[in-house]
Formats: sequence, structure tokens, C-alpha cells
Amino acid sequence: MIKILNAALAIVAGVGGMLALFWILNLLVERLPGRWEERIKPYVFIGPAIAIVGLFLVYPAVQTVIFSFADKNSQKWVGFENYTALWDDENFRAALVNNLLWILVVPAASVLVGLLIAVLADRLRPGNEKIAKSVIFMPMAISFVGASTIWRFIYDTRFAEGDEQIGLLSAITTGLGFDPVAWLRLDSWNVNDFLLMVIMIWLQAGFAMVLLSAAVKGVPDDTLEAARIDGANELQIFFRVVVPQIWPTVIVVFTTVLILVMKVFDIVYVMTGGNADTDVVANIFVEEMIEFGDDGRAAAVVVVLMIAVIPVMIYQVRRFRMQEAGR
Amino acid sequence: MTQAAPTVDVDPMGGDDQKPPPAQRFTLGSVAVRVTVLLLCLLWLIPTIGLLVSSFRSEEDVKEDGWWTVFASPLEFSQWTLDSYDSVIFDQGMGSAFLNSIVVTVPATIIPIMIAAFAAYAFTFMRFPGRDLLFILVVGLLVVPLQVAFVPLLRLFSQYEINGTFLAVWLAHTGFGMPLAIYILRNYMASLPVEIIESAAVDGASHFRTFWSLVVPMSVPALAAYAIFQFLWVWNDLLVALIFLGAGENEVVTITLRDLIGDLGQEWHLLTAGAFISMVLPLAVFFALQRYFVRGLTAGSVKG
Amino acid sequence: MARRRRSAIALAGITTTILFTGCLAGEDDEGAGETEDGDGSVEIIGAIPEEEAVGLVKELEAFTEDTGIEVSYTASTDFTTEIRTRVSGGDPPDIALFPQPGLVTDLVDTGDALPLNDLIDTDDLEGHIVPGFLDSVTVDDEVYAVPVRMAAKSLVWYPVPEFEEAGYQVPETWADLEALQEQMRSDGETPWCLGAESGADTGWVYTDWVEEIMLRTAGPDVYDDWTSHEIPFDDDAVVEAVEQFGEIVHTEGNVRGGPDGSLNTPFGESVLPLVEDPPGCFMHRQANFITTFMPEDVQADLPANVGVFVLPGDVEGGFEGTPVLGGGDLAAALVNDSDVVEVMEFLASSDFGAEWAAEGGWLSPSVEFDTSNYATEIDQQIAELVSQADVFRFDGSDLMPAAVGAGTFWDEMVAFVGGEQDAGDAATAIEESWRD
Repeated sequence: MIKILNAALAIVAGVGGMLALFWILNLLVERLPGRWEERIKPYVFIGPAIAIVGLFLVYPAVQTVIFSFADKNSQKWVGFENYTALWDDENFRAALVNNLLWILVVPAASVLVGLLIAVLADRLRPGNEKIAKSVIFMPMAISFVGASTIWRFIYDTRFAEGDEQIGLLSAITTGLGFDPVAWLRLDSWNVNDFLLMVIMIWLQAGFAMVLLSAAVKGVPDDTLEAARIDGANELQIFFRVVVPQIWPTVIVVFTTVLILVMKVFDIVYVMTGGNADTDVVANIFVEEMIEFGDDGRAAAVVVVLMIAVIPVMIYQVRRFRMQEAGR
Repeated sequence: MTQAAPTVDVDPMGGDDQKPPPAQRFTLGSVAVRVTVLLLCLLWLIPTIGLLVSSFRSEEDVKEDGWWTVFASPLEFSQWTLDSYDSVIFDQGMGSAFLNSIVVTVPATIIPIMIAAFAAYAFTFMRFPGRDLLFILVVGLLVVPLQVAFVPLLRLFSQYEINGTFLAVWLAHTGFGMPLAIYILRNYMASLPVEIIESAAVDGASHFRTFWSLVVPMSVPALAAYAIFQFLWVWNDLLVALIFLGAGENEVVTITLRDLIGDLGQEWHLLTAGAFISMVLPLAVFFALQRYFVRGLTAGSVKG
Repeated sequence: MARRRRSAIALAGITTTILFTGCLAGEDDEGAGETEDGDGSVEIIGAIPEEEAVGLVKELEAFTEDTGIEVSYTASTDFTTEIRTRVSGGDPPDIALFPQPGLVTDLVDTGDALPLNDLIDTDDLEGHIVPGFLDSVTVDDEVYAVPVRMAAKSLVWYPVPEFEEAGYQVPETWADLEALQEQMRSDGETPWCLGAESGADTGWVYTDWVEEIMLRTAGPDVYDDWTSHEIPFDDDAVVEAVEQFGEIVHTEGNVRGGPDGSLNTPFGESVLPLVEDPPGCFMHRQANFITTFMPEDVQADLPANVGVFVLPGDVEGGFEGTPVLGGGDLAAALVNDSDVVEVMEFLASSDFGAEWAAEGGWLSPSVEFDTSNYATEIDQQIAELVSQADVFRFDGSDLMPAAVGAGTFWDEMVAFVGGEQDAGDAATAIEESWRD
């Protein structure tokens, strides 16, 4: 009961405090002579956000770059040693390749599944459409801890004679007469990596579907009609009329999932711990920082990650510029 | 893509009654459509059904054979039990963790939205030196893994002795959620008609008034959309809660869940029930706010 | 455009200069420093889960009764994360119970753990703790932690009724053990249950096995050289120990479910077939905590269901005698105040643990501890077995740097069992990953 009161108080105090801050700053600025008011006011609006972002993200990010040139307790400079050590680390190189696989597969697959459901469910009766979409969206409400439990009941395998399988995948394959397989240790052809990616796709497809759905519904009917009158068939209409109009949304979804994938570590950490060649870069970072206590190496891993996402950033920035120009 | 497509007021989760009959829109074979959707839905449901079924079985059964075996004799009531739920809610402190999660999530959702809304307004409707640079910085920060901030923040928080308190988690989530909040809200506000804002200025309204009386009401869809996002994210977060709040009397649902796996990984059967309990609220929130969720996020991206 | 870029560069320049000034932490000075006056409360965190810490809490409550100092114990499921972040965040708990000495020595390096020689009577402590236990937390003749719990790892469990019915004998030497395995296999039985799946920590069961064998084939002196990196990790002695372990896990029909089953069975569940009827295996080597994973009806009457012996030694050409490998929890002081000192003295006394022993599942690290305090026959038996051991050694992977002991050593042994690495390559890979 006291907790609930505290929470209510906190919300009121936090939100009210924030409001009061903006209001007071605004009053102060409005007292300034006209020209200064116009100059300073934007910073009143933007100040708190930038201050928070600076403190919580920019400062740590810069500090990380600095620490990546120091030893494990951040006490001595070691130059590029952490980076060369990473490069020499077979496990890290393998993780980079795995990350690349994740980046190639997961965003594309999420967009495809999302688009498929978005387009097809559009053809169903409204009630059914709602059910179908809710089912696809549901995994988004599940935490990674919960998700890994769920998937354990899919991928688990038992090998001893006479043991019943409790994992669905193994139950099916052994039911068909095959020998039991340790799915998450199956590193030939990266099978285990793909099985982990399935979990991520399962979690993210709902997000993609919701956004793409809105875009598909936003395609004006008259453009479709015009194409029909020209005698185009359904597939042609889809690719020539619908796809171009929803392309910006596809890009937004793709980018968002891509950024998530770059940071993915929970799934790998919980399901395999990075064994059997399933490691990814973010998991190595957590390992280095938390388990090995090597802050220098951990920082270097993050810097590599930050460098890897620069192309994504550049692309985002270019889109932003184009949008600005279009307004 | 310079044409400004109007935001079509539909509910993309379905259920808009004005949908023209299929014949007028592009059609595919309707049987094939139903089968494909059904298959995909089944694929998506199977894992969750497994979890649901397992959560009502006894520990021995869960570890003994597959959950699908219940479908051979679903009416044999002796195999169903509420033991896992009983144990999770009453012995493992899921009840108080649930409350803690709410205490953490609500402020950690509202506060960043407020701050971000002000910033997004400035990025959209004000001109000032350094604007583009700052916005680019915000977009760039979307990709910084938040783990980098843990140690510096802990140092800072311990100076003010707020580690392990709710305040620490609220602040942390406010910081980590800010870039995405600004990005989404600015995208949406950019799609609002500029004329309205300009005419308000001509009428002598200050930015502060314009913000409150025009832009915020018009941006409700985006605000609600981001609210759901942040809500789901904070509710399901384990890492931030672990570092800034830790276990103990303030622990949240995800931490309790993780403890259910057991120190040594033997309590899987409890985890099934725990996972289900933890899903209830996010799903309820999602269904309550889903229509906003969709419109808010896409409005900004419909234009190129 | 150009103007904007210039300002960006200037901005970046300013921020880095600000941050570069005094950004690296200096070396901390040695010594425990001044003891401050306590505030009447002491916070302890540790990796001992709540259900295993019931006795500890009772113990601390009794201490509070006597002294008036409030002591709280909080179980942390992610102890390493919590302790590292709290220490680097400048908000350490007063006392932490470390499951691994390696983590303690890490904090010694950073100057966060207090040397205890100035605070409590460490000579007395060294006098009554199981020999070899304190070495793991002694740096430059300074003791940095007090053992509060011991885990005996070298225990082999077996299903008493069926074991005797089949006419098997408890093995006295390594050769006996090998003969027993063969006999079981020829009887169509499976000798070992050996499950190692442990989420992100998968691998520790295997490294325990390798350490057991290393201690028996190469002897404690070489074992010490190995854990302290005096000899390289890919020394012949180590490779041989790994190969010896391979004979146990890779031999057809020797381990339930084979190597694949071993990799995929959670270590806690892997003991279950041992106590089923008929048993799915006849032996299971695991520390004393494994009884808590047995079904409740078995736990209710352990002596009737399971027997226990120490993994035999006396390997031909190896160490003469029976070593015991173990682990334990060690209390280190992170804050120097008078209350903390008083709690540390209490933890360091030889009668610490009477309440805990009564709860069961706990072993005292002290040789002077009164064994009549133990609640169960099994606990007394284990205490007896440990006290008869010729030599005690700490779990080696806990002594190595975390990047090896909780990193490559685990991973490479998993790869070795899975057949992706041979013993030599695995040892070489671990040697290469050793950071000094």
C-alpha cells in the first residue's frame, strides 16, 4: 500500500517537477529582451533532453573509447593492445562473422514475415484479422527470460535410452526415426545460429507486422484501381504499386530491427552461453566486463560495435536530411 | 518520396468497419490466404502453447515427457495442477515483484516521454544553430549499447546514495529511452501541418502555449505509441533492473523470474508459470492502446 | 556546411580534453587504512541462495542478539555482476561472501578488498582452517578473506540398495574404479551419470573432473604450478589429465546418454536417474550440494537410498594418497568500520556455524569444528571423509583468472567433450587465452 502511494507520489513529483522546471525556465527566458528570447528559448526546450542524453549516453560512450586504450582496471595506458588482442582472439572473429549472419538474416526475415501477415490478414474478415495479428504480436510482450524458457521446450534434447523427449523439435525428428540431435550444438552450416535467430524473428515479427500493416492500409485505393484498369494482375499490382508506397516504412522497420540485432545478447547468453560457435559481439562484451572483469577489453569490444554501426548512422542521417529538404 | 501522404485514419490491427469488400482491393486466392495465415499463426502460437500447457503440469510431468502428450488425454484432470502458480505467487514473492514492476515501469515510461516531447518540438518547429548536429547525435546514440553506461552511472548514483532505489532505475531508463523517444516523436511532429503552428505564432501565441494547446494534443497517437514501446521495454528489462535495483525487497518481475530458474537451473517448471504471470500486464496494455501504437509510429515514416 | 563541420570538430575537441584530464583511476594505496566507527548495521551480500542460507541467517540473528549489531544477508543470483558493478560504482556492501577466490584476488588488485591481518587475528585463523584453504586468498602474506563454508567436490554418490545387490564394492584406488566401470559395462549397466548443462556456465562440471584427475595423476605440487601458471596450460601433465577424462566421458556406454547427453542434461537433473528404480546409472561425481536436487522422498531418508565415497586416488605413477578437491564461500571485508571488524571476527572463529550445521547441507572449513553439530548422518559422513583426506586443494578454475577459469577453460572442455577439439588443441587454446 505504501509502495503504491510512493509510486503515485513519485509520478506526481517527477512529472510535476519536470513541468515546473520547463515553466520556470520559460518564464525566465521570456523576461529577456526580444532577440535573446528567441535565441535562448530553443535551448530551454531541448536542454533537459540533451543534458540527460549527454550524461547517460554520450559521456559513457566517450569514456569507453578512452578506457579501451587502458588496461583491465583502467589504471595504465596500453595503446592498441586491447584491439590487437581482440583481433587475435579466434572467438571474437567468429563472433563478428556470426553478427554479420544475424544482420543479414534477422531484419530481412522479420520484414518478410511481417509483410506477409500484413498483406494476407488484410484479406480476412475484421474479427479474424484482429486475432491473427494479435497472435503474431504476442511474443513482443514476453521478456527474454520467458522466451528462452519457451524455446527450451522446443530445442531440448535427451539422449539416454528410454528417456522421453521434452523438446518438440527432437520429439518430431526422433518420432520420424532419426537419432536425437543436440540442436544448439549443431554448428555445421551454422544450424545452431539459425535456430537462435528464429527466436529473435519470432519476437520481432510482430513489431514489423504492425508497422507494415498500417502502411499497406495507407495505400490509397485509387492507385490500386488505376492499376487494375490498366490490366495489371495482382502480383504486378503488389510489386509495382504497393511496395513502392510502403518502402519508407520497410526501411524504418528494417533499421530498427537491425539496431536491435546489433545489440542482441540475451538470447545467446541464456540459450548457449556462446558455446559451439554461437557467440556474438554483445555477448563477448558482457562476458569481458562482468565475468572476466577486463574493462579495457570490454571497452574495445564496444568501440568495435560502435564503428560497425556507423554506416547505419550515416544512412539515418541522410534520410533525416532528405526529410528536412522535403518539408 | 516528397508527396505528403495524409495519415489514413484506420486501425491497422483490423476491425475498421469501412474496409471495402475484398473485390475492390487487390485479391489473392482466398483459400490460400486463409491457409497461409493459419499456418503462420500456428507456428507463432506453438511455443507459447507449450509454455501455457507446461505451467499447469506437475514438476515430475514437465521433466518426464513432452507437453504435447497432454493432448492425448486432455480431460484427465488429475494431470492438471495449479502448484506452479501457487508456489510462484505465494512462496517466491511474485506478488510483490509484480507491484515493484508497476512502480518501476509507470514513471520510467511517463518521464522520458515528457522530456522528449519538448525536445522533439524544438527539433521540429524551432530554428537554432547546432540543431541538425544535435539531432544527428541523438540518432547516432540509438546504436550505443547501453551496457557502456553502467559503471559511470553507478559511480554517479553512489555519490548521491541512490543505488538500489527506484529513483536510480527511473533515471537510468529515462536516459536509455531518450534517443528513441526523440526520434519517434520528431518523426511524427514533422508530419503535422506547419501552417497551424505558424498561424498560432502570428496570433501571438508563445511556443510554450503552442506546444501545450496544439502540438501535444495532435501528437497523442505518437505519444501513446512510444508509451507502449517504453512500457514493454522497461517491463521486460532484466539487465538495468539487475544493476541499478538488484534483488531484495525492491526486485522486479524479471529478476524474480530469473531466480525461478533456480540458482542451479532446476526450477524450470516454476518459470513457466512465472513467465505467464509476467506477460499478463504488458498484453493488457498492448490491447488497450494498440490503435495509437500503430498510427503514431508510422505517421512520420509514411513520407520519405 | 563548412562552418557546421568546424563547430562539430571544436565541440568534440573540447569534450575529449575535459574527459582526458584525470580520467584513469590511480593505483590505490596499500593497507586497510583507518577503522571508522560503525553505524550499528552491516550489509552482507553473497552468492549463497536464500534457501541454502537459512542457517546463515539464524547464525547472524544470534550474533545480533549478542552484540546489538544489525546484520542483513542478501542472496544475489548474479553475484559477479552485482559485486563488480557495486564496487566499481563506489557503493560496495560491507562484507561479501565470494564463491570464488579469483574474484577476491581481482578486488585485491584494485585495492577494494581489505587485508585482514590488521583487523583480526589471522594467525589463529590459519591454525584451524583446513590446510590449503587459505592459500587461495593470501596475497603477499596478507590474508584477504575468511572461509565461511566449504564444499567437498570429490564425492561419488551411488544407489546403495542396487549397488550392493549387484555385488559391487566401493573402490579404494583409481585402478579399482576403472575395474568397477568395466564390470558395470559388461553387466549391461551404465556406470556414470554426468550432466553438465548449466546455461551460460556450462563447462564447470567438466573442469571439476579435469582438476580431480590432475590432482591425482600429477599431484598437488604440479597442480599448484598449474593453477598459478608456473607451468603452461598445455603442459603434458595437463593434456594427459584431459585425455584421462576423455576416456571416462568418450568411452561407449560409460556415461548415460553419451557425450551429447552429458552436454545437454542440466547438471541438477543428471543425478535423478541414479535414484530411480531401476537406476539409470550407478555413480555420480558431484559436490555435497547435489543431495538438494534429489527427489523429496529420497532426501527424506538419504542413508537408505544413497551412499557416498571419495573419488579414489593412488593412481599408478601418480600421487600416492587420496586428495580432496573443494570449493567454498569466502567472506571479504570491503568497508572498514568497527562493526564490520566484529562480524569478521565472528565469522573467523572455529565455532561459527553451529546453527548452520543444524540446518544441514553445510560443511565447516574449520578442522576444529565440532562434528556433532551436523544434523544428518550424511553431513557427518562427508565431514569425516574430508578430514581423512591426505591433501585438500581449491577448485582450480576458481583460482585462475576469470577469463580462463570462467571462460576458455569451460568452453574448451565443452568443445573437447563434444568432439570438436582434441585434448592438445584445447589446452593450447586455453594457454593462448591466459592474460597476465
